[in-house]
Amino acid sequence: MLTADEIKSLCDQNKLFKVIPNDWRAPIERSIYVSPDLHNFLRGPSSGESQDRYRSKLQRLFDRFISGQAITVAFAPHLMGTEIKRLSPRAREVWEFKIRDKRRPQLRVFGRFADAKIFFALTGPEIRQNCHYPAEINLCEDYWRKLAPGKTPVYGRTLRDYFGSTKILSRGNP
Amino acid sequence: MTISAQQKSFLAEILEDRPIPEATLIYFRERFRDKLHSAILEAFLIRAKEKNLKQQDLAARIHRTKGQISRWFNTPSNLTLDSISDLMVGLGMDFDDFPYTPIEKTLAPKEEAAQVRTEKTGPSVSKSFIDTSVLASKLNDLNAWIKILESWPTSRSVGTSPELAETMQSKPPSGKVINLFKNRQGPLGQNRNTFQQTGETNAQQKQA
Repeated sequence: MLTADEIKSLCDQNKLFKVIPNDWRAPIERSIYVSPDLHNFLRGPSSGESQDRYRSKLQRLFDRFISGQAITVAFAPHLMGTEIKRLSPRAREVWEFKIRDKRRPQLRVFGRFADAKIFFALTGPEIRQNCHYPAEINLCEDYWRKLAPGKTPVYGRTLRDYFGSTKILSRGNP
Repeated sequence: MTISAQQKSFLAEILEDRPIPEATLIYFRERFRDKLHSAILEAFLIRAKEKNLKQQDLAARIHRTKGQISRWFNTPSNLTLDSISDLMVGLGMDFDDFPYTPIEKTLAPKEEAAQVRTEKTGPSVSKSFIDTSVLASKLNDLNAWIKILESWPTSRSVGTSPELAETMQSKPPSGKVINLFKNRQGPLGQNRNTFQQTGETNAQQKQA
């Protein structure tokens, strides 16, 4: 796990960017930090309507995570249809955030929990159909190792260890 | 309430009456859907606690499969206006109202926001005209009530029976219910604190 000072140092070096919610009325209960690529996807110049659409949806999903609003989380490998999921094998501690769109392919963003209620979104967005999950997990792990050498992510036993006590609609959690 | 420069920039077109970018419109659609989704989940959790209602029971009530209910609950994007209505009716719940606030007023600092609330609820006492004769009459009534209460036997409990008196005592709120409402925004954009208080009060009233 990383300390607040270590996270701040990574932000100062522009290796991580803190996500500021668009929702100006929502409370701040958790934090998300993104890699430069994801920051550019969210805040950089848009490549067109498709990116506008996806990034609005990703921003909204991040905002919900940050504000502690109800969110569905899968804690077991066979569960589908949730918004956040811990990927299998669980010992790798890689999580995905799902961007859904009825008219377009779904996207996935991958990352790890640096501490309780602190998520690092590191790789993606990747089109769901193109995702080769073992490779995505490796990529995310490699990114983490380069970003925070010697640091481990959260290895939790319950959802509370990751999300804190705020409201989570859990699926398959112990 | 502190608004960041990024949030101000995000709201710029809305506040300046300019055409609103598609990306902003999409964000607000998602936000609105999330609020309704949260309200429905909350209503379900309340009913599950009160009546031991399960997703399967709800599905049977509104002629759907458990899988369909699960899909609606899983992500806000699966909801439609029809499904929102069906779920709420199935839960035996009704939306009270759809309050709204001009966005520019949600950006106001706390003092200004308080002023806005005062304006909404009517003129303050200091500004309004007070009829002194009415006030004197109310004071007389109050004095009469105080005399009655002073003459009331001290050993007598409030109410007509000990059982009733017991039910009138305030019960400690359930920690679980409070956690449910803690630290979250209201489903339809109400003030967070107001909603939290309302939620707790409702829960207490239901328990009582």
